Amino acid sequence: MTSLKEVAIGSTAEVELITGSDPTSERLLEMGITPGVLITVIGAAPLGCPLELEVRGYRLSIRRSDAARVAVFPSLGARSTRAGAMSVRRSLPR
Amino acid sequence: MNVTAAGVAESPPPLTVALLGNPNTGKSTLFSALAGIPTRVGNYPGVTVEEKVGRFVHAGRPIDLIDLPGTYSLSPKSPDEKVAVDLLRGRLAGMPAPDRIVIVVDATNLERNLYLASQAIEIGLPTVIALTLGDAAADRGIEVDAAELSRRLGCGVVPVVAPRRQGITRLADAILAALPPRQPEGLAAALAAVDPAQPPTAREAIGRYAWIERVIEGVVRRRPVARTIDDRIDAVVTHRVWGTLLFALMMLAVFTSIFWLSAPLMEGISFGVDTFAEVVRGLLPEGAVRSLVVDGVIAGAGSVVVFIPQIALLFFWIALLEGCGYLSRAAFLMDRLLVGVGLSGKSFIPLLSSFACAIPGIMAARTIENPRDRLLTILLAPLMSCSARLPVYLLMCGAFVPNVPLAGIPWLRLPALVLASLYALGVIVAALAAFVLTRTVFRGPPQPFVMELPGWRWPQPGIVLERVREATWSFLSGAGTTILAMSVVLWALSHYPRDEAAVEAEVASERTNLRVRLEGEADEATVADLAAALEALDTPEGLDAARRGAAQRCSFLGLAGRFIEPVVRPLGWDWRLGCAAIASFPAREVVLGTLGVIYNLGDVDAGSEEGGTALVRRLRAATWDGSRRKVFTLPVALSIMVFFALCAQCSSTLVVIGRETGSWIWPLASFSAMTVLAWLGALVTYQVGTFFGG
Repeated sequence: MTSLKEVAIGSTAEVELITGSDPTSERLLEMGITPGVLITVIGAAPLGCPLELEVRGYRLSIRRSDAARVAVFPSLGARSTRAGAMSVRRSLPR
Repeated sequence: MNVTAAGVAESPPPLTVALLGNPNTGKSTLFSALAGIPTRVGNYPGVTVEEKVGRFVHAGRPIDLIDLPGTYSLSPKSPDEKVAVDLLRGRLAGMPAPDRIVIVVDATNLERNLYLASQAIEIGLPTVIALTLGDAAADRGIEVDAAELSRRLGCGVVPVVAPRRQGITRLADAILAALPPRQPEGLAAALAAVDPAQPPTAREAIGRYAWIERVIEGVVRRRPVARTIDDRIDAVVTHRVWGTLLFALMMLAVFTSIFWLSAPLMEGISFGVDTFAEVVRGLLPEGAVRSLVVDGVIAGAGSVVVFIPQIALLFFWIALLEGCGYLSRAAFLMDRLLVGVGLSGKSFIPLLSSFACAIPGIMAARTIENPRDRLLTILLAPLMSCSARLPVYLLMCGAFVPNVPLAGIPWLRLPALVLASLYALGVIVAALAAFVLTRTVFRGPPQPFVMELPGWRWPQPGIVLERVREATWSFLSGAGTTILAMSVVLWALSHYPRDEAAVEAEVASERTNLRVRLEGEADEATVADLAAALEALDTPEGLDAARRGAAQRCSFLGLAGRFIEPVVRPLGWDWRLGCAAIASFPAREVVLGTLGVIYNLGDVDAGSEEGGTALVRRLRAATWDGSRRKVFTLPVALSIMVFFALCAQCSSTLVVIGRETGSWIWPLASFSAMTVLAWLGALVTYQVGTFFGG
């Protein structure tokens, strides 16, 4: 199972499910990370964590450890809609 | 307002309206546009969540607008959110449910904002939706059909541009006319349709978002925009190199302004207070009353007011950064550094500011929503070496640390290394403390760190000024009065008991002591110093200074200093240093002045070249009572600096901790723990220093 943590920067993935049922999982769901939604990994902070995501038309930031609980379907590849040039912006080794 | 012949106001009872919304939706701007400056700011009973209420009159009806803390959903994750939810449901002690709800919905982010909105509509209270940031949405090619949205949600939707006051009157009309909403079409069905195999926590979110996706279809129209300004700004600001550089520059600007820019303002305030004190001194007859008014009350009030420039400047920056959306980016950039010690990126600015002064730093912790992180940040803030400790470091380093180059590098000198180590010491101890505390007292499940990075906006000048005014006022009215009261108490402790006989005896013993030492002294420089000190006792100023020193040493604080001598002796300190440490409790910046008084110099300005030199000479000459052994050696100077780096000898900081945590337990715990830490640190420093350096 792939998690959001493994999605390459600049790529978009479809959320499969959120594991766990603690406040963090609940908050992720409330913020719109629900099964079926598309998430783009926009980038990461200079030290590699947290991640900057785009979901439902807004930006949010979560830590890699929390991204691990977001299971995704295999990546859809770089998206070229709103943030057009983002795929060339950063390539951070994981 | 109608006034009857009897003069009794006869107006309809005020309508209570709760303003609800996600964070970063322009809620504060809307509050100001509707109600102006809040008429009441306080805390909700029993919690340290801020309550902000504004009264305005619309169409003859007084309206109390309650600004609820920003929340993402009605299943609260923090005390802030819990207050919002409890108030809406009428479960908050002493506060009935509001008559109306205004839900602030951000047009640029409709999907996620409708999550909370749909939950709030279901409560069933008369509800109006204020659709904000329509201008920003238009810039991004987003257009929202308000009439259609209103039809689908079953409640009124009024588009507003709060900074320009567009739609405000229409919103107020809608508030008065609001009816209980119809249940939103299809919501119950959508919630029921969720796969029951999903965990219960997920079902609510899945069902609601499925419904929202249908609602916005046809309501939101997107025009393709090649690359928005937001994206372009974000690409730079969160960039690995440019973003970090920009961040460093921003933080430098913030820090410089509270560290250096505030200095002339603070000096101006001190000058004003001193001038006023002198005028009053001239007006009152000499005696206890004059001393109480001048040295107790006026000096105490001065020590409160002097913090205002730093608080105002820091909150100016915070409001500015928060207003434009940079504050969350700063937390984003710094998060990784603070995760290791159990904090989040949001603690960075409060802790950074604490290097200038812990008081604005502790107050800045209000920007941290997570209560555990906020408390921990408040407790760690006083460990950052503040600007009030710097004079102590500079004096001790300058006078007692040999100015020798290190490892043969001419520009790297020992005093500079010591100074840098003291700053590092605070940070390292804070990191260790955080590490220990998050594994003991603050142990618990990991707190969610899911942080929105809001769109870029122009900060609203009105909101920025309001934030500065609010922070300053809450300091003055909340902590200020306690600090003033404490200053008066400490004044009394350092001026009583006024035992003239004991003071004279102290001066006489000083004279004898000097004579005895002079007789047996061989070193020429010391002879000259001792002779000068003895001669000074025969001049009126010298005698006055000696009397003041003696009075200080014979006061309750001085007696406490003698009493604790056995405790400070292992640190290499004599009882006078113990006195100075205790007497510096009103505020750390007075410690040098206190040393001057205790060592019979009278009032010296240790910051000035002349005063500093005089104080250094006096300290260098100081010996243990009845002996020729010098008090100040390198290990003692180091132990003093380590003590001051780690101790919580600052009453104002403790008062502010009490005020911000809403409990006296935390300042007491903080004081006790830091004093023990400081004592241990000084002990190790002195003992190790003596062992290696003699």
